[in-house]
Amino acid sequence: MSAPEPVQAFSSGLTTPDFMASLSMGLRPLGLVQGYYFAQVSSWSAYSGYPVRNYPCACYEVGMHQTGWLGRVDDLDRLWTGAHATALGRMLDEAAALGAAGVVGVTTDMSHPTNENSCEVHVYGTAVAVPGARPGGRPWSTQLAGQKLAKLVEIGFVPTSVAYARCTAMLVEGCNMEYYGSGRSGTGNVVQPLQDAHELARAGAIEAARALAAGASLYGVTMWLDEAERYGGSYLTCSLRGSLVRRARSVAPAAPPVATVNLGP
Amino acid sequence: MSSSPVPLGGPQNVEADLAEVGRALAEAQWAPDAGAAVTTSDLSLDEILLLHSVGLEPVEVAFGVGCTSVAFGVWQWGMGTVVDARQAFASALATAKSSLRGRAHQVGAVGVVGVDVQVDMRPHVCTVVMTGTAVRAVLDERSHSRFRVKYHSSFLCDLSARDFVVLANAGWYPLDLVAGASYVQAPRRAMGDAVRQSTQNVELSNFTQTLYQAREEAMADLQRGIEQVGGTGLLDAKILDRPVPFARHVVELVVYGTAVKMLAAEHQHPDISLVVPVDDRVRAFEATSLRTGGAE
Repeated sequence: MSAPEPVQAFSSGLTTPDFMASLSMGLRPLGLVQGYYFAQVSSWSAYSGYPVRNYPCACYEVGMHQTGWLGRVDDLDRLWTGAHATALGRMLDEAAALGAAGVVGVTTDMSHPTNENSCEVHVYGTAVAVPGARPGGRPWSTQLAGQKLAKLVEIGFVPTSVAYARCTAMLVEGCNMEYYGSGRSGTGNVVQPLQDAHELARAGAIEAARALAAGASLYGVTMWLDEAERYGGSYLTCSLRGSLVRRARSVAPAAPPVATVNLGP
Repeated sequence: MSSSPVPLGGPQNVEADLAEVGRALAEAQWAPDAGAAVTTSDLSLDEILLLHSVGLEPVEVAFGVGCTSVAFGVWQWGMGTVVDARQAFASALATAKSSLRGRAHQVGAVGVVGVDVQVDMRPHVCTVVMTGTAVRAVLDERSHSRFRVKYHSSFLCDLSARDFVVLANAGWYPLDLVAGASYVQAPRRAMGDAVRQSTQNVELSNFTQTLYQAREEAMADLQRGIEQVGGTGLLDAKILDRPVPFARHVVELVVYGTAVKMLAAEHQHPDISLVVPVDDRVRAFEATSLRTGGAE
């Protein structure tokens, strides 16, 4: 394996083992490419959901009753997923400008840099050239690099893109929720609105990920839930991040593993 | 890319041909799909490879949620077990397991591996959330399942895919995720004892006894759970032992793990190879020693 041609010094986010594995695979690092997106989150987007389910009053108390409801905050989810897609697109534009076939070791940082009304997405990775790649295609991207990327190809997949999906459920407590939440109904009753909110956020995020995948598979998924209380409502956001891959080759089952005992420290 | 019956790193070719991998990546954008099926998985690639060796593959990230109410006033100072909290946990756990099984069944999975369990006890609501990857059997050329075990209902296990494969190769299989929980109030010390002990380093026997009581009750629930699912034992028990944040006189003890059963005629002893790594950490050079001549 000859060393990469010293046309121009390259920058990369690869670790030394990943760098060595990349060279063995024929991948030549071209540069550390990045994409940014910074946006304002309008109050309407942040705090408004559209109802998907109502919970009629169940407390049978005298006085004003408030109907609880569960909703989705699609505006907010669209903003964040759009922000990720735009930042990713900008990173891929940089990679394409360098003549890269793909971007490996993609890392995504997402934050509210000033307050909850701002959104920043930073996507970066190492653009790589692959000898023999046909020019003109959109570069692929993956969170994997080095041996892990090699392993992915070994089991018959090729990388497509990194992906981010999310769903925010908004729960406004009404008499029903207060009734169960206060424990006055006793122990062991299903607190349906809260359970529905948890399920809506998670199922919505998985559904969004499946829609993004469009026939591909999403591997290496990290799934997490953020909870927040704002203006009397509870917001549950479930996020999924992973690498979209396509099966390009059928392979026989892997050989049974050999059990080993590591005598190292 | 051509179809190959043998994985690049298969038995005939132990080391992967990295140049071949590079050629596959060169064609990544243009390669035709070889069987499109949407799957999501939070397993690592190593785990997917291992599962494949026992005839399983990931289908979808699956979850189950159970939220149940806790009656008013159960967290007041008192004595003994907070029965309502224990009952609420059991109810939330059952709902979460049923929901997770339902989702696994919907996608045609034989079970769920790597289940992560989160327990959140609040004054009036107990929430149990379970998240894992539903796995299904891989079919061979004749559409026969490569996974030999038939389950009546989807198995749930919090073991990693690696542990699952090691178990399966030895003839053991997971049955269900079982748990026990107990919430016990530490009795107050007598005023005289509290004053007398205020300047001493002394065991608070009321808290020690509370911990023992909580443990006994949780373990009894766990044991009952293992027997109910027909398991021979439980592996990798996790113990959450903490004071309840909003009622710190109450000790929460939750223990859970995977009930397993040996389905083979006898235990298959794995043929274990010893590995001595030669890539130990190198001795680091401490630059600070230069300033003081290593006298520090």
